[in-house]
Amino acid sequence: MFIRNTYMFRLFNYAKPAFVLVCVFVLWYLVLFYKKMDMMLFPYNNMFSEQIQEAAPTTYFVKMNGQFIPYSHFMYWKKDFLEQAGYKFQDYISKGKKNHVEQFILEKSWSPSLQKQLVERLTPSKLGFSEWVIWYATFANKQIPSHAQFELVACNAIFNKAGSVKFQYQTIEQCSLP
Amino acid sequence: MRNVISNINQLKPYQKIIALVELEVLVMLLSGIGFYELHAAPYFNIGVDLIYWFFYLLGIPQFVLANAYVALVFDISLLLCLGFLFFNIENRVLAIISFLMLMLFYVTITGYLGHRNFQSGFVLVLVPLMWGRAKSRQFVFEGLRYWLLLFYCSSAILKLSSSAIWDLHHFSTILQNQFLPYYVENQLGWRTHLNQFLLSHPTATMCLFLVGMLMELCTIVGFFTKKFDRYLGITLIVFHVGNWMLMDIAPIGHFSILFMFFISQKMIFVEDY
Repeated sequence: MFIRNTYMFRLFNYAKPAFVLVCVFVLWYLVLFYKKMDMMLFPYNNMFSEQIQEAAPTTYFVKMNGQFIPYSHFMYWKKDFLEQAGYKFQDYISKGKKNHVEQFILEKSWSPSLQKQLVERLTPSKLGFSEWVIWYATFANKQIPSHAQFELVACNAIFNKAGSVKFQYQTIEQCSLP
Repeated sequence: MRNVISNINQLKPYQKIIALVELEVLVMLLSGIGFYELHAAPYFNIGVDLIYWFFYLLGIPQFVLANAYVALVFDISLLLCLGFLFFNIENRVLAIISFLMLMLFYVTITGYLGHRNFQSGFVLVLVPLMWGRAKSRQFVFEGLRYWLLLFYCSSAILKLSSSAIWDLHHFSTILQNQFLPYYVENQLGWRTHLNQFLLSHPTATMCLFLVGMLMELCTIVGFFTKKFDRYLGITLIVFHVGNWMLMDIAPIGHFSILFMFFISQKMIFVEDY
């Protein structure tokens, strides 16, 4: 009786192709889960399950004419966007202007022409700091004065036991607009 | 007020979900995230995911964001599609168009955000409406419910199986990272003060982590019975509100799919049974 009421049993009786499709979906999910791969329909939700290996907690900010461009006052998605943008762009710069997908494609033994086409479509064209930072500042609702100077800054935090924090700042990239 | 409540009660269960999806999209657009706000964005970073690859290989997100007017048209079309779907919940074609629009919206903003935050519930919740027969819709709805249960349950199991769970400072280290921008900007609101308190009390902080993990683990019950779905829904909403308070992760984008737990005990697509 219990078996007859299960989802898969009912689905098998209702539509066999749907049953097969669900089986394939589950098997594919198991394979991806085993490989620790995360996809939209197959989430590998290991958020906060692994230990953080960073020596000091770090966040990234953009400075315009020596002043931080603030973003924590924005609502969730936009704040997240501006926070991640700095982090991802420094990662892009540090890896010789290659992002994760480009590295993934180039590591595969696919034909060079296929690799070239995929990289062209799936990654942005090689981007300079000045192009990116103008968009970033505009997106953060900042008016950009002429001759503005920009810096991408890593902020390394040092917490003490009472919960107070000091920062060490390190400039990753900088530019001046004409 | 009584009229508003009685009008809400008269809505079909899935109309309430569509209303929540529309509300979530509206909040995202008003917060400054949308096709129009992102137009001319020069950098994107997508994962290794065939759904993302499909859209980006066709060049659709790149095309939409290349022009401010096109981006604005897509923002408005998205809201209109969901609005029409709200009033024509049985219209399968409209459901498919709305689903594709939402999928495009999600892969565009997360692709350009360069960060997957698992908040795709507002897209996937439309999947049951894409089938014609009520019985098929009911099966897809139940399948989606299992997928959602697995989403939370697997997260708890991955935490349980990790060695990090034995590290007393694990959660306080995470919390340090989550609130860094607020410290840099000296935005010391009540959540930042709570964060400071938790950083100096790692044992209490780790207890909260374990409570959160147990809340996720509760979903395992849902694989065997639908009897407690309402309580699972409430538990997960409390879990997400806690996430926002402690970790600054708002559940905007994943709220509407949680509503499934409040309607799953009924046969919601029964018209042609």
